[in-house]
Amino acid sequence: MLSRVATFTAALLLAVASASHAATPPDTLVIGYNRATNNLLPGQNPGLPNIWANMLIYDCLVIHDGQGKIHPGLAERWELAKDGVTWTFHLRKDVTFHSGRKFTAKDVKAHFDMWKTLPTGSKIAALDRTEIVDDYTVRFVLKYPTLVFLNMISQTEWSYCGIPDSEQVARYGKDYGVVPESVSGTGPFKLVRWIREDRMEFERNPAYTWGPAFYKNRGPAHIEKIVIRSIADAAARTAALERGEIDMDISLSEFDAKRLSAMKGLSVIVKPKNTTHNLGFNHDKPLWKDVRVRQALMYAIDQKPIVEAVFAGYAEPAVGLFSPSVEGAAPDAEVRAVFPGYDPEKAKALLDEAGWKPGPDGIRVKDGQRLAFTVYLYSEPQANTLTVIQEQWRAIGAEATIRQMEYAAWIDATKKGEHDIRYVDGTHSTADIAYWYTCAARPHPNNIFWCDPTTEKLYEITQKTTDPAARVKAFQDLELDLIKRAVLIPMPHTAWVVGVWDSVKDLELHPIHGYYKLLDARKVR
Amino acid sequence: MFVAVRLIPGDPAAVLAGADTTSEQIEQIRRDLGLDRPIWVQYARYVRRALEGDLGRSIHSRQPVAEEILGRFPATLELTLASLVIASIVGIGVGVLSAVRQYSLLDHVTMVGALAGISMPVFLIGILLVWFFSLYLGWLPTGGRPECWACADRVIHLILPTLTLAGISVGMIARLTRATMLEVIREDFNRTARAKGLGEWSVIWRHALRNALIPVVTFLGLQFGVLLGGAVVTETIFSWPGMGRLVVDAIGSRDYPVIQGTVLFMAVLFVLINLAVDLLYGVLDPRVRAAR
Amino acid sequence: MSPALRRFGRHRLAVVGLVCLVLVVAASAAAPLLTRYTPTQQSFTRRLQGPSAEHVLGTDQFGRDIYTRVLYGGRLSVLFGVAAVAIGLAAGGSLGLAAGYFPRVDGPAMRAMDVLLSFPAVLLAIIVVAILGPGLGTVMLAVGVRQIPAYARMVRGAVLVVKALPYAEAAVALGSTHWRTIRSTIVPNCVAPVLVFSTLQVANAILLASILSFLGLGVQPPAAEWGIMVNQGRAFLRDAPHVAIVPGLAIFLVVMSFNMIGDGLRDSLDVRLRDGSHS
Repeated sequence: MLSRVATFTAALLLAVASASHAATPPDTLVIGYNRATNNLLPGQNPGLPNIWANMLIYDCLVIHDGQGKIHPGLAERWELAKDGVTWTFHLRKDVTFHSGRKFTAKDVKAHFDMWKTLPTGSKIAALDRTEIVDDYTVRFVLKYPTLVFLNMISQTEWSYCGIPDSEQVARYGKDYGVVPESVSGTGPFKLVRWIREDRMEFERNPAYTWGPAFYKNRGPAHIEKIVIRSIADAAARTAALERGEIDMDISLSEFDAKRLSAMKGLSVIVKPKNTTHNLGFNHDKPLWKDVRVRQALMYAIDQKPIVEAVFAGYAEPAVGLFSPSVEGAAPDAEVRAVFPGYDPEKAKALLDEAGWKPGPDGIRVKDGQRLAFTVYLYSEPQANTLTVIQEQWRAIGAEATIRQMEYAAWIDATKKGEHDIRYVDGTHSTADIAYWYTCAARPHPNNIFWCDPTTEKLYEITQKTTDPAARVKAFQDLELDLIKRAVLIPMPHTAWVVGVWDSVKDLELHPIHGYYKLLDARKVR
Repeated sequence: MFVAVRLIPGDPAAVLAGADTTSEQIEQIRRDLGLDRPIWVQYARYVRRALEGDLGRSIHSRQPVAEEILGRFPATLELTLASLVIASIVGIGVGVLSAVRQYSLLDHVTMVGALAGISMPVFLIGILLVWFFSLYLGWLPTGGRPECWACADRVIHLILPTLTLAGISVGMIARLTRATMLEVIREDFNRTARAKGLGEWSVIWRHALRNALIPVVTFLGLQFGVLLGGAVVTETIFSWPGMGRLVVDAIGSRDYPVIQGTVLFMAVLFVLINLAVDLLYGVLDPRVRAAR
Repeated sequence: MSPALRRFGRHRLAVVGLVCLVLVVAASAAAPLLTRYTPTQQSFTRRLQGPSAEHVLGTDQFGRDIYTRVLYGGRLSVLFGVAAVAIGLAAGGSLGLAAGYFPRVDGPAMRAMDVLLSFPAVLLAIIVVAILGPGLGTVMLAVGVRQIPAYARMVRGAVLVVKALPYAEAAVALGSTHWRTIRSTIVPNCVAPVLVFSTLQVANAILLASILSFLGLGVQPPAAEWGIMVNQGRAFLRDAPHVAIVPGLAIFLVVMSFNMIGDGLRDSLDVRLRDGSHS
């Protein structure tokens, strides 16, 4: 009987093997995600899967290109009045929603009024009110002058500004963005099917002709259908790509990248990502009052092994805090002048100087206290990174304990200041993310509890000045100061690692979100 | 359970709000979600609505929890039922063979095998299967569940998760079947049947197996619960979009309504399964029927 | 005990299990003497290597010696198993004793235990971890909670059997106090079934603890824990399958040993139990 079962199994498996290489339809682009979309109301929930889908469904008034330059979107042009607080936007007159209704100023006002009440509303904290001048003119009045406003309402800023059909929003209320048929935007693709946690299907919007100028094709898109599949497990996603079940994997496992790049017909695209990953000390803890202790821990870290062991080489050791491609980041040479990099001997010397002497188990001691602390973090790559650093710190006599928790619990715990050090992964479009380290942002996102007059002063300049050069200079000074005093320790910049079949052409990748509107992308046989 | 779930650390309002929000906005969300009211008020409201089939809305997706659960349940049911069927067929078959050929080489080998099955962590079974069939031979997919009904692709994706999950049950079923079969075979009426001149296999089929199956069936009912637990791990390994992953993900994102709803749903499910097992027991065993 | 011991000695599988277990426990206890590496020591020039003279079982993602980590991991797994059973025995055992001995406690207590027992062990443990947050103590507790109803039910059954025996009834009739009856008559007669049951439950507890670690809800990295090692090794299954499979086999070996010993004890002590619940 057993042999019969074995024969049957073998026959079945053979049948399976012969049918195992699937191919996607020629007019359809199938994209694999590591997570699932959960809400399609722009501004409601953060999270890349929502932002990616919203990039396809909605447009904003303005949008950044891959180099960080602002282009018109739904607005043809705009001007800032002399008072510094009144922005007037002139809208395109040829735009329609997926529902067929014409896009007008009423939709813009409705969205901005609602956005202010949504969880991401702090992005437009400077906005006082939105006024309709006529059907195709909108006026924003700010509470104070700031250059940041234009950045915040760009689609690149997480697509929160995407304008939904205000009548659909009014009709569906809380269900907007949850019920598939509620969703209606002006973007190049419209949602046709949504099976939660599994897949979303989009069809090309044939009326679309208002794509941003940095695309060769302003619309309609070349691709007729897009299917987004969420496959959480990295190995399963890689296998789906290899078997041709998906055309591209936007979050390819770094450890599969080398092997896949050698595969015929398949390419691995690596693009820099605007990250500011860092370790931050909890500055309320007495342990970190001595700047030499913080500096010692910073000098003890060698980022090269992290890049290899955690990211399989698909990352860059960070010199400064901000991504080098972001306006306002200090040049590497200037950062190196204040912090030359890995130097374990210097680290030991700093600790000796600060009075921390090696104890019986190799961990340093001062006044009966061991140099031991806990690092709070929330993801697998972070835990792996700290696993490497733990050994490097042990080598200079410091003992770190890792506490990995879910993001929700991590936010809660760090807000309460339970941690000694926290690890955060950030992706940013501008250096404005420095507000995370201002007094007003405590306890969250400023969960390092840093509150310092120099930082405050420099940050205020960046927000209030109307001189772009002064803004850049202030950001650079701010970054150099934070590094010099080891307020935060920069961690490697990760990259977009995308696996894609060669049948997909003209795929554009951006340093913040990966892909935007996929207007130029094509599929060839 | 409600209180227990609420004790989970992490503020759902803060999670929902995302990385950069002010505390006033978080307070606003908390009010919207009704999280600012005393816990017993929340509980009373929850019970009243649950009785009407309304388990609230997911904090994360804003989707009704009942819909989320019902959307995921078929995947889990499919996986556990397929595993139960495979485990029963193999387990009962092996158990009967072992009992009939007690102390033979076959008996020894299968019983050591059954013990090994019981001792295997479910993830090891899964990983070994993935390594051999998906990565080494390249025959079967490593995970996922294609959205189509009873198509070949779906069945192919079901093979490895089913074998993995069946692996945790098959040993126990085989051992129990063997033990009860041995008892029954020794009993008098079988001797009588044999004395009547019936062939050995016919005795086993007509008399022994039927009697031996009674405790086995009860056990299978309980195994269903065990398999639902094992499905949490199996669904994680094979990216199978079922309830197990739903509850693990919900714990990760502190999605109270989803955790509560899933736990409640499973509890009701177990009560129903136990009830069904009791009823089935009555049908199979005339003695129980007579006693009632 | 002597004839029982002889019967155990004849149970070949049980002896094999005992030898295996003693070897594993001794090796984890003496881990520092058996390896020249520490469990967290990394080497970036030797990542994901296969077995060699330097590294008998190869190295992992961080170039750590897998043999060393498996040795140290044994300490945690055995600790989890024993601690969970201790919790179950202490809490569940006394509850079962009370339920079996005092009929008034019986109904409500056992109803509650049935509810707990019918719930999948993995989910119950996950909920405990979700409330308390992951960590060494939480794992013991989460796995131990599961043992409470199992012990309560098992001990209650044993007590009911003993209580019905003529000499127990005689003891009560002769005016023995509750406490003395329990101590002198009931408890000694429950030792054998509890011993057999505990051996099997340690096996279940180790399995459950490894599942929690595998799901990332157990002790935290870089702890050398077998479930964590399997989970971390899963990412390298294609190029370095030994990283995940070796610690997985270690769990299997220890659990199998406990199960074989349990089977042997059951046969030699002539204890009848329902097949233990599986996680």
